[in-house]
Amino acid sequence: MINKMIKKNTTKILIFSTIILLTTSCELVMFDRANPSTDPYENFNYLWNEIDKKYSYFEYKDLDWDAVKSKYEVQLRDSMSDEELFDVLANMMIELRDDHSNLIAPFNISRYNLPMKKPANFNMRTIKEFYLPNGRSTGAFFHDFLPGGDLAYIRYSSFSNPISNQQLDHIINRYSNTKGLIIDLRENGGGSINNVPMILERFVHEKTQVGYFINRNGEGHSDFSEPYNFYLNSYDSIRYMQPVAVLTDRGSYSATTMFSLATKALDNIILVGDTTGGGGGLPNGGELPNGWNYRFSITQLLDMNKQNFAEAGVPPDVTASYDWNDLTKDEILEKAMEELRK
Amino acid sequence: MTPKKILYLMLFVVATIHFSTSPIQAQTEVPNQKSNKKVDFQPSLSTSIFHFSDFATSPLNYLGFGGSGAANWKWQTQSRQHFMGIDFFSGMAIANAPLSSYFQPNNSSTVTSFTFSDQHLFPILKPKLPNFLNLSVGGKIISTSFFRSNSSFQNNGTGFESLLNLMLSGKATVDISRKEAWTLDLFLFEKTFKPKERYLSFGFDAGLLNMNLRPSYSYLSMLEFNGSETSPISLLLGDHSWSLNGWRMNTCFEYTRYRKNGNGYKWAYLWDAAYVPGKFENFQIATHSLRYTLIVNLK
Repeated sequence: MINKMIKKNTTKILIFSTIILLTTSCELVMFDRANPSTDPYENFNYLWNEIDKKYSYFEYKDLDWDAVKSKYEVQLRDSMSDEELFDVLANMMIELRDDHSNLIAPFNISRYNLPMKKPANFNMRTIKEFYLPNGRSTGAFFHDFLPGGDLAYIRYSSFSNPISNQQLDHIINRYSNTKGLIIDLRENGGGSINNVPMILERFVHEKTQVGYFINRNGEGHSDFSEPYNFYLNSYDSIRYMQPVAVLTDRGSYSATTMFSLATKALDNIILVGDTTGGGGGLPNGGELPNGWNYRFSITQLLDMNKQNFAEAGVPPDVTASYDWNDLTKDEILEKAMEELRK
Repeated sequence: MTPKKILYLMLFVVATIHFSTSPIQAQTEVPNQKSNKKVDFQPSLSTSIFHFSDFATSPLNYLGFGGSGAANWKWQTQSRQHFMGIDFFSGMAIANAPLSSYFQPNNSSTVTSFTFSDQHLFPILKPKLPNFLNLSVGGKIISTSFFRSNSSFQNNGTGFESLLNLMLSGKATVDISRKEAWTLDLFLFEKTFKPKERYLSFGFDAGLLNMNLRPSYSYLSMLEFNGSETSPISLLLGDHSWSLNGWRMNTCFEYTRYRKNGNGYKWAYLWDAAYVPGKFENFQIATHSLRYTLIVNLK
């Protein structure tokens, strides 16, 4: 009986099986082939091409990317180790002079490391020991009145640290009667750009345009989108009405540079210290044929005059530097206090 | 109600429908049916393997495993079948990075998708075909949105694309019902097989108009930034654009078994593949699913 049934339905079964096989194998024929590879040349070319097509600061930095290719391509060998390949690719990326450009392998991460190439200007021990011995911690903020009681100090060490409006309400209420506020963003390497307006809008009293963004949008090194506006709104509840000084140094990078550039359009905020580290471009992220990751800048941040200086760093309004011969005193903080008391 | 109780209740409902034989209504759901209209609700669960590549962020293929839940409705008359459904899929995939003898990279990505589909089929060649075979053709509109997350891609870690396809549909259904009871003599005992109503069907959908929403040239863009009032969605989708290109195909191979009351169940193998060039770099995804569907006869 079973044989009879199978015989009776053989044609149907064959037709269905054939159609199924034909259609479901289509994807293998019609899809583009993925390209996993450990070949040093393929990985090098893939990374070089991605940067060539999308990096946003070739012209600004006067970079000859073809020359960079020639310089590093000759260092490749078929049999090179993973670490040797990493060094070649990493050195190629370091030519971008951009701390938003990193090669990320399971055993190492490459960095340009601008802050290490410039003098350090921040020592938290000095702040805690000589200015805020009983400083308060509210979420990511470390804060208190400064000696004299007429000024307040807020330390925010990373824009990656989450913050809330409740925390900001508490802090601004506490210091609402001071003559000025100091926000210390030295060595703040950046993080979430959403935290930039969250803080700055406490000091903005009407919607204000503070800059522009442009995005790489074509294969030519000068192919960019039209400028997009960068606005700050005014926070609709508790705001701080007195002058503000923001402390920066070369370790103030990425979101901190964005923060610093925005202050240039705000009359009630001054920058004190050293030029920021830069990082005005928003970095992307991707993967190489061997599975390593990379990122590099694909946008530019411009000021209100559409000038592009953020990548090199936002200069301070008042320059000051930390004197490492006297660890009892923070000259940058002292300068900010002096400016706010004028 | 505890999750355990909810699970037991769901299993009870599924089992009741799956094994239900009470003659609530006369059987109506067959391609050769005589009655005027039949309405089914068809909830389903699937388990899938899938693979995708987004060449804007990686030259690698990601292979993964996932599952989906769907709710479908079917309205059938002698002259038309109308299917409408929504589907939620979630899965996780691992990059096919080449093996390293030093440190193995192991990037992974989660994929979530929402699909809405609406299909109309019309029987063709009815008088010329043998009784056991039914053919129908028609059209389908299907929209799928993919949300992908891969933390190793940092600012490009969230991928989003949306597909909208107008498809040509065809379906062949073969009646493999056991019309008469028969007995299998196994010497020690006999097994009697009762008549059963069941069908094998093969459905095929090919995209005629394939639209897709894909990221910009640089994948991630800074558009107008309106301070703290900037919508996260505008940051994610602000610079995506629609294109009319690529292709999409679906196939479905189904075994359907009906009870006397018009309820039933289906086991199906489904294939869904889409090739999405967008404006700049390609995205491609294929899903192979094994799906179990309950058929709840509503009318």
